[in-house]
Amino acid sequence: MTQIEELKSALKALIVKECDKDVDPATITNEEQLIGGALGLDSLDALQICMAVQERYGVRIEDGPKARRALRNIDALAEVIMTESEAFAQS
Amino acid sequence: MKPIYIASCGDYFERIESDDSAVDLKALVAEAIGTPVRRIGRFIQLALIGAGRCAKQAALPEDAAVYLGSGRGDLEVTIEVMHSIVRDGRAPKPLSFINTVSNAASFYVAQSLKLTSQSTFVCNRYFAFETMLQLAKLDLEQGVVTSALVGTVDVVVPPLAAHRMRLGLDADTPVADASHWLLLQTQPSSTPLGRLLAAGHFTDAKALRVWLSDQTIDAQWKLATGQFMPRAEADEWQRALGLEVFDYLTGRPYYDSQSGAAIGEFLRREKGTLLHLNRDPSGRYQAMLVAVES
Repeated sequence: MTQIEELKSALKALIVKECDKDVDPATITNEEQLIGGALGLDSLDALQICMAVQERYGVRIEDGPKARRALRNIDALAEVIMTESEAFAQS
Repeated sequence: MKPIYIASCGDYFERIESDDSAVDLKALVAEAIGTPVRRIGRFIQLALIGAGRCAKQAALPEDAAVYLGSGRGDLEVTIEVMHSIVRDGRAPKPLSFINTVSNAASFYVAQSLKLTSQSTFVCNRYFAFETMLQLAKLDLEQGVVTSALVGTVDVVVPPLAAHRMRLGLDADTPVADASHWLLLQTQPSSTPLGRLLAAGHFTDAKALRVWLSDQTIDAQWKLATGQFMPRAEADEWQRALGLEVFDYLTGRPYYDSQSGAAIGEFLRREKGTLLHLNRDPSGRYQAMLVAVES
């Protein structure tokens, strides 16, 4: 499993745990809409995910548009974390 | 005064034996209210289980008000949030933070049981159940509400050694999670389990004695005394009133609102009238009087 795939798996597990969802993390696809989709997550879940991501990965997802983009799906969230982590490492 | 009927009762009670022995309450919540609920801690889960079980025993009108009490509120989520802020120096998680408002439990009870009326939460260390019963009784008598779901919830937060220390208990005191509920109504839709005759607060023993002297005490009544009344004083009241004792406390692990179990236990085990007296360390008293038809 590549680093990005591992990150995506970890993010799915994080979302299931933090949002208290009774689903198998593996059933969440990388392209599936996270907020307002079939997963049934809402804005409070979005806030919870942002806080958990900051705590786990040190990446702060703060403003509305950025959060909306980052929480579009697992692919987008993983990309934001990878990009922000690299930017932080290079600074 | 409008007569107040006890339409149903519901409980959950579980002794917590060790740090990791607490029962997973998710399935019990789903069973009690018919649907799983996420993003809630054990305190709210306990409220939903007790209230849901109570609601199942009678037709629950949507305008029933919720009166929820607790000795110390949602300790679990409060401790979690305080650990985040004070110990770890970070902002608390949103789902924990919003549930530090203990009335969140009343919200979930109302939402899950599809209730649309008022809800009230009161933390009272020594008289949690009695206080909620008294508040509900006042509203029922005044016609503010016609149905009242009255309950108390107390939660154990492991590790048990820390929990006992927090509650000021001895190191070997058994402890329990508990949730006790009654549905009170002025116009029950089916045969009630009993009637609430009185629920009163007294500033001292003299005031309680004056109230008792106004009651037509029958020798067939049973007397129960609450967990906070010293044993010697309980015996004095028993001798003075000459009533047989109804014991619901022996062997019961500690939680703050054991009084919440008294009426439910009496409804299950006895017929007749129960007088329940409790007292706090400041010398204030609470009385509850209920009748179960013979």
